[in-house]
Amino acid sequence: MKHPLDFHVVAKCSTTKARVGSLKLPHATVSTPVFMPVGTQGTLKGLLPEQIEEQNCNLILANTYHLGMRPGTEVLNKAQGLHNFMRWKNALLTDSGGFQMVSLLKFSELTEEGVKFVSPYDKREILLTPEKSMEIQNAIGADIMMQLDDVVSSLIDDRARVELAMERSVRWLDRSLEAHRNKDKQNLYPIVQGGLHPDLRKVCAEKLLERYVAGYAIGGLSGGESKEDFWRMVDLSTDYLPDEKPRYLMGVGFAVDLVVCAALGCDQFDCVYPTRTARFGSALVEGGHVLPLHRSVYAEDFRPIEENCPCNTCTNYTRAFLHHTVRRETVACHLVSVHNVNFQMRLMSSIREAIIEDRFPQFIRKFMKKAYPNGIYPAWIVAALAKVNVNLSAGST
Amino acid sequence: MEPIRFTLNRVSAGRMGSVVFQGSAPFFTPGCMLYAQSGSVPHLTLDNLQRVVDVPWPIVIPLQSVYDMLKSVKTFRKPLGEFCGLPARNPVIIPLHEALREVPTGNNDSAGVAIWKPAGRVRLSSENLVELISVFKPSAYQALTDGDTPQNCSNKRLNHSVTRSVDYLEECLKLHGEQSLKSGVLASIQGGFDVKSRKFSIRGTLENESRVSGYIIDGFHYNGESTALLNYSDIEDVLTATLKELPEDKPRFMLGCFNPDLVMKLVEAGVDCFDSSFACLCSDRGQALNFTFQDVKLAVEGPRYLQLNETHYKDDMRLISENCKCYTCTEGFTRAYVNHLLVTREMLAQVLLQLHNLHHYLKFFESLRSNFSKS
Repeated sequence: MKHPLDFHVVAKCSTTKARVGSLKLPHATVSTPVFMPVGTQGTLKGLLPEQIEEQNCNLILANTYHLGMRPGTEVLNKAQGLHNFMRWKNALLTDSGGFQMVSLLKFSELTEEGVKFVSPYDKREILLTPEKSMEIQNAIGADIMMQLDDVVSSLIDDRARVELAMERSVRWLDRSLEAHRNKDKQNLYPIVQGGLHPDLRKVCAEKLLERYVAGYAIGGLSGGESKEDFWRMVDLSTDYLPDEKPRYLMGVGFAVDLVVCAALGCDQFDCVYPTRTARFGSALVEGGHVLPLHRSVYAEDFRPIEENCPCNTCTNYTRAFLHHTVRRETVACHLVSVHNVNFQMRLMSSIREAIIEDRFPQFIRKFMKKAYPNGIYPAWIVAALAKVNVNLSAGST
Repeated sequence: MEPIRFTLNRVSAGRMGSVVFQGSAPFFTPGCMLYAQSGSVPHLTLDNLQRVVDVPWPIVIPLQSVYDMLKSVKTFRKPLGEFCGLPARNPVIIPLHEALREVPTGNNDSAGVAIWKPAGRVRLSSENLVELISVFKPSAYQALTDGDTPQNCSNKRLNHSVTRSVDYLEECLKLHGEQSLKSGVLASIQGGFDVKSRKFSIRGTLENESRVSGYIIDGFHYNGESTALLNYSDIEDVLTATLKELPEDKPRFMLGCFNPDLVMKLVEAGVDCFDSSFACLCSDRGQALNFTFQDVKLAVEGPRYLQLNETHYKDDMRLISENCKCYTCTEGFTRAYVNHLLVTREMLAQVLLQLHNLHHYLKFFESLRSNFSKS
């Protein structure tokens, strides 16, 4: 049976591993590389679906663990899925709940069967198994679902534990594929695990390649490991994955990381960062810099957050006004979130354009100069980019 | 140009008219101005506000919430409304206090009137106020006034409130004139729940009648949630006696989060201008207004709102209100979804509720006006 997902590479960078793809999903056709804002509880932090669309965003994330707890599958089924419930016409991706094993570790207990969580809301125990995760994700109805995986912190030292987690994740993938009830409308991505061990990552990828799936996620990273380890794991994971299928790098959303990881051949990214940081009054600007708008330097700064940004916030509001309202009024959160989502979307669009016009290396160099105006680049960026044939110092004076 | 031009079209049970703020499009009364805090209608970005009303629309921006913006607006050199992202021609009315925050009693003295800005309390003098107004350049503002008159306050307090308010008005008008400010001055009628004091306040105020653009009937509540519980019977006698003494030719404002039942009575009694803080209060409390007002007299029967965080809405897949034309209802957001957002404390709950409640509250005023024209 054909997957309800059609991916084809539209353009390839002739220098790096970057590519532009067209990802056709049941609810939207998405251009990759794409950043997917995170709407954990079936809402993107105060924004109306229409406001999300206005930022040229047509694929967002929701969270299985949270939605399984509240409102639960019964309500989701009655609402005929999350798209309808939250009035979002475009594409959705759900993570599996695996990540919460790490983030809510103290509430969980792990066995081969699944993870037992104690709900922080009502102290109820729930057992999240691969089957249960699929049941919730089928009720949500996202265009792309994630398998439940055994997520261990990327900081863990115990190789045996990492290996066990990787192997268990593959077993859980098979159970997930078996339990998936909506194969004509929803896709299931397996997740490449293996921690920071290249050989385990390789074994994992090989096992996943034996399964019939629509795309792949690269997991177990962005958990506090060194950037050096991070980029190497991303790089070798994309090497093992087939060119003709989309690759989703989980939990990445800083501008610099997006540029590097697009160069390493990743197609999809997600992160709570742009909207979370907005709630604290931090606005994203060129080069991935942050304006902490609550600081008094902005009290008489009558420019928009970003001069050429087309978003409603930059069209109507100044930094000075936002300075007086961030951390006080919800409206300020919404305004900065709108801008930050727009920022991410524009960044990805500029990456795609550069790849299509085959000037991505120049784009990267220009971007990095903006990101590090003093010209001192972190070693991991220099190394990662050198690996895909981009010399950061080349062309600079 | 006069700061406020009021046209009274008709007086029967209540008044119908229109207010033109500094050449703006007429604002029809009885009417509901938008309620803002820190320069925004709570929870609504400008694009979302435009999903409810066509701006420009008169907006009430309480001084306490924008007090700290003084220095910024001064450097900006354009009026407060534009600083807050509103269109240039949008009328801005500045009262002293936020309708949704209770004013603690017992803080006013001869040194001035206490207001609570975000960073804490300040005592405001007429000089302070007029300086702020000279920078903020609103269409109209509330002259300094002491409205701290709880229902059972002492005669001495009543006396202070009334006499100081008359003096403050005099001071504000003087400073206002010296600086040739263009804003309209709204004089507050104080006197709490005492008819004699009210009359005294009116007499004092009317000494400056020609320099005043409208009246704020103040001192019947101290803002905050409790205002929503105010009943007409609590204030009827004093209010009607007060309104009788006021000249007909100027608009009468009553600010606060009044429930629709009270609004109907106040309109009948002859109050012209209100604000939308009640809609916001409901949104903040997880309530969706759902009273009907096809026939306003009947409207006051039955529940006024749905308490959407109650568990039984968890799987209620109906719209908040079947025939409602608001954004939330026409876009198909259900009670169950709003319930989910409330339960998970997601900010979109208040956005969707505010889109609905503000629409509903404004429609309610529209129906009050059309009922008038029919009768």
